[in-house]
Amino acid sequence: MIPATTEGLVATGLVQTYPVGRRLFGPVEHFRAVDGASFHIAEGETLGIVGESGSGKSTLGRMVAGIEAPAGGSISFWGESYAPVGSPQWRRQRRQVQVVFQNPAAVVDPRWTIHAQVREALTTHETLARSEADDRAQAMLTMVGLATLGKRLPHQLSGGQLQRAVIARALVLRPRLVICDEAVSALDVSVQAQIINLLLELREKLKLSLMFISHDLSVVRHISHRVGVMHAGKLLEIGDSRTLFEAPQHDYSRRLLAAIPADTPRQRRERDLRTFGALP
Amino acid sequence: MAEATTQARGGIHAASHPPAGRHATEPVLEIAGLTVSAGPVDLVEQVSLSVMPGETLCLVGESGCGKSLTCMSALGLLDDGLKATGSVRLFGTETMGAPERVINAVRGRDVTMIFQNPMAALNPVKRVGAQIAEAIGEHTELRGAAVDRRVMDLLEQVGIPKVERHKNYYPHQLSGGMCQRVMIAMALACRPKLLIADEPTTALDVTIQAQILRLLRDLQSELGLAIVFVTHDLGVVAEIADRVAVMYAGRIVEAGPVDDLFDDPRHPYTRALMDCRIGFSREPGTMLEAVKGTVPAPSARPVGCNFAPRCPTADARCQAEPSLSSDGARAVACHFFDPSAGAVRQ
Repeated sequence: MIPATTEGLVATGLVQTYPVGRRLFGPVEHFRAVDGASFHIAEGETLGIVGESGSGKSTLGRMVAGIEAPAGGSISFWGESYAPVGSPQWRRQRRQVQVVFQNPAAVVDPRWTIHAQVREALTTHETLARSEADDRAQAMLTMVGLATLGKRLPHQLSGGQLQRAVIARALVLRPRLVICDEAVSALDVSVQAQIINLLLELREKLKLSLMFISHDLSVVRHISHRVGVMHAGKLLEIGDSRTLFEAPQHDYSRRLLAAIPADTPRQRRERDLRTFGALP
Repeated sequence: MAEATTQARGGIHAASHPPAGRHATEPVLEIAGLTVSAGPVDLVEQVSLSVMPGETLCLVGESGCGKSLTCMSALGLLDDGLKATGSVRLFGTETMGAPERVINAVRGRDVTMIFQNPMAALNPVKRVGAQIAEAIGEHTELRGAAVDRRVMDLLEQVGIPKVERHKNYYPHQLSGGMCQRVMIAMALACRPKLLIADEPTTALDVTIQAQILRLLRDLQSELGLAIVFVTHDLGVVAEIADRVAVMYAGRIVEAGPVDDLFDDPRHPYTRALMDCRIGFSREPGTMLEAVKGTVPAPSARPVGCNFAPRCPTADARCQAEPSLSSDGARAVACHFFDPSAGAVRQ
């Protein structure tokens, strides 16, 4: 049973449907992208969501972010329900939950410096003196390791640096919950490790709750306290990260985990020997 | 490097992949001193590698390291405006600078390629079966009903269910994994001896990736196919490689048998790649050993060793460019690598 709490996010029976056309004279048919997902994210906790493409994990993230209103079910965000999309109250709630997407280049303005974009996020939500907004933007850029790069334009930064800037812009608002939707998936492995470290460090420092959505099971396992497995719109199981990866309960979870490439060639041979009884 | 790889052939594929074909001792692909440049900027520098029949060579590296350009050069498919020098020998024949008909004689028949995004490589307005038939008609003597039979065989071989129905589908009616299977079927249509696969599973879900990797391994042992497999994912390398060449900023920095590289990476960059893997043996939530900085752009590569600015062990020697030196099993381009001291693993 999901604990009733005001500290954190509680989602109950979330459903999202999209119209997919209609038969002649028939009713409009709907595709259930998310089909009854219930979970909670405690304060300071990271919930990982894994699943394959089309499983509904991004849709789930958009509903939790308040970008899309669910077709069914409810969300309690630190004891409050989400206001209707677009309302003044919704705007106030929006700063409490931020999203970091896969492709940082697509979500920044190419004509604005990094510092200006972080500052704008702040001044959109607060009335601040120019100098204070500048200082807080600069402090945030320093925290993500871009102290000296604030004057640069997006195209003058590498992919990893740009993702740091996007994280700075999300965190400068001091949100309670950050949704990372494939936030490290497009980065080179060496840069990916840097960003994962940054997220681990910041969530500790800022007591952030994270919803970490990814198709990369190893990354999700590493960063999450608990993990949920999604398949065909359903949240099949949620468990403590370690337990879930060691002893998945659901058949589909087992199949998904079995498909992860081996760590070393030796492990691969041992696995193949177990699975097929002989080396190919 | 050429010597290194010849000797490095030792144990693994002598045991697990008996070389097929008449020229068992001759590499199907041999690249020597390949340099690809765009105007004054060298994108790929002095790359040498060779692939033997029945073996899988993985080219590993981060974006912009030159792995795809190396593959495209091997097939003579570089964009206009890029210039390649060095030597590329396909099945013993030099193709670099040779007339188009020389490479046309083998490209598409003896050597084929598959790409990361199958949707972009398939013709969207032609049924997949017809596309495979076209490849067969182009490169073999088969005609008419024999072509149809071959198309069905191929689609079955790559594990497409209900072939009779699916061969009449257009690419958009198939999933990404199915399209990649169609690409592989097309690539295998003329029984090639060498398959170049450029990140063929990167865009696919893990379950589909596992199927495609297994399929390639099965086809390889069945057909004695040599594979050059480009990837940035060390997990995929562990799954499919016999030998590995690690590229960084346009150069090969380390090459050797896959077990050696995983057991004992010698180049600091290979070590860095191994260290920042997030395997299941790692304690969740712990800081990763991330190497600082990013890969330099080709126009901004440093003097001397390309990895030196990010390297934890770099010193004054690294101002000079290290050459790739070999201890027999392994070739490493690092001033700190002492080929005479390195123990050769058996």
